[in-house]
Amino acid sequence: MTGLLAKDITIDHGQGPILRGVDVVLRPGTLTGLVGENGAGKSSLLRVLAGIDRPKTGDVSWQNEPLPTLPKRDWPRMMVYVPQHRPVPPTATVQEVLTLGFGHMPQKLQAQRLERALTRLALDRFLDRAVVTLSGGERARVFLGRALVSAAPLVILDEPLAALDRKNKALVQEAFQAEARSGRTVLLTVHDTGDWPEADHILTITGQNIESKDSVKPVADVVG
Amino acid sequence: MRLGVLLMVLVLTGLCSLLVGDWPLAPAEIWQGLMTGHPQISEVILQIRLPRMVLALLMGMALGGAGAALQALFQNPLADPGVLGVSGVAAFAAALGISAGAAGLWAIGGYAVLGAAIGGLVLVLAASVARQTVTLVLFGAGLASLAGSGTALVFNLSPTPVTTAEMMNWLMGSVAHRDWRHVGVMAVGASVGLGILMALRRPLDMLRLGEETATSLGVQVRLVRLWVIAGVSILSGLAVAVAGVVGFVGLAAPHVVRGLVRPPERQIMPMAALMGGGLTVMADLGVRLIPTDAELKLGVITALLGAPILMVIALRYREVRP
Repeated sequence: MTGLLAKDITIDHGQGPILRGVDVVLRPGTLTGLVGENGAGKSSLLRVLAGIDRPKTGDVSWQNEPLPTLPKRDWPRMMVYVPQHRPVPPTATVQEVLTLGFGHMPQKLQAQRLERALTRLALDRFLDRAVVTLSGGERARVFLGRALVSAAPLVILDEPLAALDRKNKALVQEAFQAEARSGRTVLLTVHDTGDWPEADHILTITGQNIESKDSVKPVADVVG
Repeated sequence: MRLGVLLMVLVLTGLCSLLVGDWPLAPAEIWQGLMTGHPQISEVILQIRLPRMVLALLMGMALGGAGAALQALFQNPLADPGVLGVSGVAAFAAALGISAGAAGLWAIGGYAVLGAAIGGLVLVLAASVARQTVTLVLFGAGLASLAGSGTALVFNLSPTPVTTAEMMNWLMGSVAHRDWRHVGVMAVGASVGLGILMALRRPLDMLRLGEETATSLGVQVRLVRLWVIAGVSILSGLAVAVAGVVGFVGLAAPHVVRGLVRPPERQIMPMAALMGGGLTVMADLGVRLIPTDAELKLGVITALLGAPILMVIALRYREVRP
């Protein structure tokens, strides 16, 4: 089980490279936080790792299969990605947003995971509500809930804690830390490393490079 | 339930449109005439009213389906086939044809088909290089306005008032005096165009969550965009070619469906096609029922009917949205 492997990634949107020749390795069953200042290229890197954008150089592979060679129809089985920009469909209910695009899942499994996502993110009472009628924090939880409904082994979340108050941040943190413990590979952008005390790795973007600090947990233990 | 009522209204409207015309006929008369092979009744029903009704239905279906597909692709409730400019270029070509001396439905229709093909091709090329969907909306708006100015220029330079009147006449849209050949052309175009769009319902549904999420779900956004544009170009271009410019149906049909039936989003497109067909048949019935000295034009009535319906529905939307 090799997980996600990105080698020699250079990202350039036409105004000079944002990242140059970086490597990323994400092992199954780990939670990795990506840290960097605003504009450092966190979202750009996530988009490349999620296969949304092609890097200028380098390759991304999942379980040793290069992303471009994986059939598109298999992508939802491999990965779930929650971007920072989450347009709200004007007429969609919470249930629709939570399950849209997961038609490949057996109905029973989808229903079970939906139930679980609703409970974990305290969305039970909103199931039939139109998403547009929810508050910013509630909407954010609905979109993050998609990653819990999906059973894909790779979970990529951009700004998962934005727009959330302390109580809901805790719900989201607990939910995705549990996902990593259950064997899923979780990658997310982080503002404050203290937000994810159980992160197995913290990747910090500095300049055009990435510094990797493996397992912050022992450090926390030492401090503790 | 609501869908059932809607379908019943559509069927009744279709049947009514067979009764109305210069020679009013009761249902029993039509039935008897057709059964006994009465020459005049058979001629009026089978060669005049039925093809007219079927053409209005097919054209409305084409425009309604195209409107729903574009609204889904652009995630914009204001999108309709007119926005992209294909029908504008087709209309410009028809006007150019008339000013160059083309006469008769087939000659003018030929120009319109050529215009639609050129407009569609330009848009498909733009769609294949556009990085974002919004780029395409702006490009389409530019093309529509260019075609509009071109049409205005043709009017401006029109050699005689008769030619101007003829152009106006065409541009206002009509399904009068069409025969089964027109129906045949539109039936083929509507089947191909609506077939393409219906096949894209799943990816269009996923695009509701935005292009990034849709891409992560395996949707090839650029390819979907290209095919939607191709389908819409076929539908709106051929609609102009057989019946001139009939506006508002593409914009209003999906909203009327949402307002009256409230189906799940995935069913909007087929229902909007049905609704577009029904609205156009209804409008054509209005053309024949409203007594005027000059012949009323279909495009005028669709706008007169469609605009208020849209306004009412827009206000109702506000009740459920923040």
